[in-house]
Amino acid sequence: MKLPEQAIPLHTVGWTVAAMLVAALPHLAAMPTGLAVLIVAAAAWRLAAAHYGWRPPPRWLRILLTLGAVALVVFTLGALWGRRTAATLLCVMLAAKMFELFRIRDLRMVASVCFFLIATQFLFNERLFYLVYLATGAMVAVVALIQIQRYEDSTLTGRNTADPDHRSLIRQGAVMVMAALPVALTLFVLFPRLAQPLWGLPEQVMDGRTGLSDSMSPGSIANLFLDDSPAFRAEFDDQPPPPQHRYWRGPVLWHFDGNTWRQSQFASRQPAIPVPADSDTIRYSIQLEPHEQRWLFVLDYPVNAPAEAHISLDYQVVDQRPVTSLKQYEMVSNPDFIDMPELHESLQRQALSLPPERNPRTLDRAQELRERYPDDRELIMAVLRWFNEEEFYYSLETTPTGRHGTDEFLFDLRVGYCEHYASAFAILMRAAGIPTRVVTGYQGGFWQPNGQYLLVRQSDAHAWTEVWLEGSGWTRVDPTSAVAPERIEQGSRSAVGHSRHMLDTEWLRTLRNRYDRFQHLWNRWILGFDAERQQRFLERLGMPDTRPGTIAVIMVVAMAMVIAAITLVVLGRSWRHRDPLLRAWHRLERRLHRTGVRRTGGETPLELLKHAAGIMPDQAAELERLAEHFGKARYGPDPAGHAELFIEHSKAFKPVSPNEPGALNSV
Amino acid sequence: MAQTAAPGNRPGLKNTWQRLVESWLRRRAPIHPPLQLAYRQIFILPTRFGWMLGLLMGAMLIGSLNFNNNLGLLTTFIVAGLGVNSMLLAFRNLHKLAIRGGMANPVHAGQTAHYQLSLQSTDERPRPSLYVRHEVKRVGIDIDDSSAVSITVPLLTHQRGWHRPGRMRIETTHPLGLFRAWAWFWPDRPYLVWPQPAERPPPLPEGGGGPGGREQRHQVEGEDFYSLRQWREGDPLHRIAWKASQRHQDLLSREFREEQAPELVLTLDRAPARDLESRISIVTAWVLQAEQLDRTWTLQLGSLELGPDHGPPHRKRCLRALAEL
Amino acid sequence: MSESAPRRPARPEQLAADLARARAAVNEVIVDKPEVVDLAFSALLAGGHLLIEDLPGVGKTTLAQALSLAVGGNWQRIQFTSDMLPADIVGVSVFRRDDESFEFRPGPVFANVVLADEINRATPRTQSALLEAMAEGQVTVDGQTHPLPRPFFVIATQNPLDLTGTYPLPDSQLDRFLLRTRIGYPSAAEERRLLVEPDRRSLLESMQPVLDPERVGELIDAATGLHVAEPVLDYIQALIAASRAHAAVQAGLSPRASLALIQCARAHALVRQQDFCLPDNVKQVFPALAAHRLQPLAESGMSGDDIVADILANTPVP
Repeated sequence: MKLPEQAIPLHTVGWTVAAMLVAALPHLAAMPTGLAVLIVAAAAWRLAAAHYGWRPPPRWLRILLTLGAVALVVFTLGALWGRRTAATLLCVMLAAKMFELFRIRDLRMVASVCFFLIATQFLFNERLFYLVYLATGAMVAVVALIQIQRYEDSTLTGRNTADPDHRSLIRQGAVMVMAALPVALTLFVLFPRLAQPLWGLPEQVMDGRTGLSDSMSPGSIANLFLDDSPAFRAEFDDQPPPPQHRYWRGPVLWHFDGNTWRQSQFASRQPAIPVPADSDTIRYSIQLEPHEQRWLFVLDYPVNAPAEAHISLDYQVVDQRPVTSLKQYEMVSNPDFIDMPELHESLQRQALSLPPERNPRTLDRAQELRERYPDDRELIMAVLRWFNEEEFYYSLETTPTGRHGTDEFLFDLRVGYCEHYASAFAILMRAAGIPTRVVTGYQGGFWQPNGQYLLVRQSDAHAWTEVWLEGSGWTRVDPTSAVAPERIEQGSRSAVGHSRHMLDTEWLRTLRNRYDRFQHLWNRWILGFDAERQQRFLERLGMPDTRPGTIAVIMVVAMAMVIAAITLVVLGRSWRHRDPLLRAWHRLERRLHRTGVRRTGGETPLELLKHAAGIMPDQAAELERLAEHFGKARYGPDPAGHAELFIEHSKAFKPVSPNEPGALNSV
Repeated sequence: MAQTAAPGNRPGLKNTWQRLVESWLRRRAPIHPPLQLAYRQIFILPTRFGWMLGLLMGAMLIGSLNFNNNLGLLTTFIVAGLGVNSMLLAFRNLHKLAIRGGMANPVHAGQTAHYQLSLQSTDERPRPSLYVRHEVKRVGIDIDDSSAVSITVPLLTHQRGWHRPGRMRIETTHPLGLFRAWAWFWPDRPYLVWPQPAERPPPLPEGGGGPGGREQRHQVEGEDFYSLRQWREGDPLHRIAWKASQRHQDLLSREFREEQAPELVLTLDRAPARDLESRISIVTAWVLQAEQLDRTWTLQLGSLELGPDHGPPHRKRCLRALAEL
Repeated sequence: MSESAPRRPARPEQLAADLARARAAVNEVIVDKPEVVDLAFSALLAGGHLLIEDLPGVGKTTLAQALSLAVGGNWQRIQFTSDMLPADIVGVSVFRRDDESFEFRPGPVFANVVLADEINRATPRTQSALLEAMAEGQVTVDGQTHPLPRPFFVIATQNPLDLTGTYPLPDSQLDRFLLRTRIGYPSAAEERRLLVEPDRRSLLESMQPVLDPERVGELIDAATGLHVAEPVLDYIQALIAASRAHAAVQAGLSPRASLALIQCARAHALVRQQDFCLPDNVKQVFPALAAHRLQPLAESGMSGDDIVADILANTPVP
């Protein structure tokens, strides 16, 4: 390997390594700690090498290090091949690159790969906060590139680069990133989007954040209660439904094995019976945060499915692919629909099955109730009354239960939350011969009055039941509402009597709600800007034809216009002085120039003004005064006052060319 | 004969191509300094690094589009914006740059001539990272403000005579090294290359070439004692010959004259070599030697006769005559 | 006429008024050439010497005389000829028979203002005697050093065209003169005035000294203390740098020349009654200061004046 004559100075290496570290920061946080430490150590080694003037390690060692690092990644993450592994591998390769970061070409490569690394991170998380990451990362990478360019210059000009002004470098970087925005935003708005992906999306968990899973066992929702992050947002064409009707339907669970409720293969594969739209339908749109699962949350009962999604027999709306980036969809729901007036026999069997030899006390109680209340509706009311009147508590602090969990819950502990109640209620019902299924999803939501949307958080996760009744089909029964009605009326927060953690204060919550409004706008306009929205946006602008081909043409035309505008700004704008006196002087010079008084190369300011006075004898006195003030302000020992006078007078001064008609009037 | 050879004197395909390029450029805009670079002279293309980043951008674009990842797209487009601005800034770095002058002090063949160009920003804008490239050599310079700076381009010299430096290129990859903007120009002021002095020249040919030598110019003052004469008012004290004065009962002053060195006439015929070039280099070496010894010499080249004279200006005249031969 | 009583240093306004009167007096004699007169005063107040180079009959000697008269103090005129010896300038040690000792008889160079007319007529030896005196401010004869009076100001004239039997000052000696200037022909209107009005030279006889050596000393001090702002310093540096970068120049201006430039610009500002230095002052003294110091390359075909004009036209004023 050929080395440059002098070692690359610390500040050049420093900025490049900084660009790498900033871009890798979220990746480092997500990867196994050992790997992250190795990467940071490699960066530190390179900085120390620049500081102490170490030589690069021999070639065989570098190859060994690279291979070792790759092997480590494969060993650590190999089983979970996916985007995260790929990103980690990229980081590790960059870290290995640290050991051969001794040429301008390598420096540039690392700095530019930083942009790629930044873009990669957005596959995992696209929240508003990451805009700061994008801006910082791009800025530092640009500074690194500027600094590399300067270093390259210094190798040829011999200019000393010993001490760059870092503050001015940062400013330059920030200005360059800002200046890139007009082009970037134009492209962003107008670049044709793909309606179909070119290749499939791998399935992998995003950053450890999950929403509801496709099964329910006691405790599975509890971890969501502590998660205040948004699950989705809903906007309504009219008024939002009242709180007690905000049941957002998710997975529907049929099978119970004693511990866990699961979906039914049959019901979730069969297409739904179409729901007719009538006058009471609710129209709304949803921005679903990515949750790596396939279902979409809707109100009962979905009339239509979004494109690429279908509605199953139990009215789950299931997308073709897991939702890995923000998903927007329009929904229409009809709450008055009667689901399955007739229950098919096989479904009835599924809705009544119970695992054998479990919860004998519950089964006994069900038999007891059945005998006392032959009518299904009365039986249900009795159970709810029981939940309500007896000492049942709604609490997140529950005790693990054994084999007969429901028995323990119903007769001994009597402390639990929606999952426990829904599960226990469903078992009671089935034991009493009423077909029952468990529905999970979200309940409630926070109405943002300013933003006119409903924010549903992960902590709004909920589970309830549906019982099949003669005449009214599947009917929603929420046993939790019997125990803790305020959970349904006012949302999950009120149900848990006390603050869940120290920071959960009122103002903090207000702050979070405010922030969420920005996040909402962000989601709506930036993340949710897809092919469809782009089309609508262009239509609103009055473009009649919005096929991708046309959009491409529009984009090319718009880009040409934007670049022309930037060119005008870049080339047309004269060098702007920071000194207000010089700014005023240049303005005066331009005005004189327009009237035909041109400054020659070596003309001094005072000579120019004298020259102008010769051409415009009417204004000679004014010009002379300007000359005096400028001379004293710029060259005098005591400029105070004269600069202001010059600026003031020069602003007021309007040169009039003697051969313009205006000159005659002014005489 | 004065030569105006372009570098790489082969009448090959490359030369024809260069002539074609030159005439095409000439039709577009002036190509000889003094000139001020304008739109028509400036060319711009991505650097190798620029292409690489372009490729990376393509990958980012396809990936982001496929995953319908809008922030990824935004990142990609920011890189695109940086590229567009880089291109414009590189262009602006050359736009309205004045290139003037261009000349080099004469050197002997084989030495490096330093061709000086003057660069100036005509709109007071700083112009960082400019390079002037000539053949394989590249020299860099920054212009911080509007004052003219000079840049020295090293030129390798092979043959004596007048030469034009040939095509030069001013270029810049400011600010990020993504795009290279450049402009060609042909400095047309020739530079002189003196003949290469022979490495081991024969000793100086003493003795006059012409009949009886020439009358030496009378030097009033010199190093060597010449004669005594009567003291006159104005003669300095240290010139008084005290011992002699005592003997003659009168004040005597010493007078000095410069040594009468034998005259030196240099001609090509006196150089012991066969071909013209070797003779010229021998005479060149003699001229240099004569000047070093502070001698007075005459150079005869056919009908041209220089001297007798001495000193650096005479040497330069002689060397130029030898170069132009 | 100077007063005999020792005076306190004059106040600045007084100094300025005196300078203005001196300038007016000279301008009365040398009509229509205020720039040349200002340059001459600048050389004086910068503590340097002046070389006037022009054709005969344009008023070189008149200017020099008027200047020396206005400045006051004692002045000497040396008409240079080819048979002059150094001793005729600096003085001689005369051997006295009676007491067998040498006595120094000061030459005409011992004066506040020395007018060296047609300096190129003397032999280089004689010239260099004067130039050495100018450079060192003292004269060494036979091992004895005799200081020259203060202020010491030499105005030399030289005819650039009359070359037969002359010894033009060598290039290397020219920079002993702070400024070199030309006078040039008068304008048509002035020429007419010259024709119809009585001879201006008669004014010389009635001219009263306005300044005196002490005043000149104070003025020189005042010039040294004049304010020069950063942009003007930038401009000076740019000019010097441009002279060094110029392609037609063998060697650019030396640091000594840049010091001389700033001092001259200050003096010029003082002459122009300003209390600070403008780029205009620098620009006006620059040709007189630089043209004779720059040695153009023979190949370039440019003269020193061309180069100076080129530099001034291409150096933007900050």
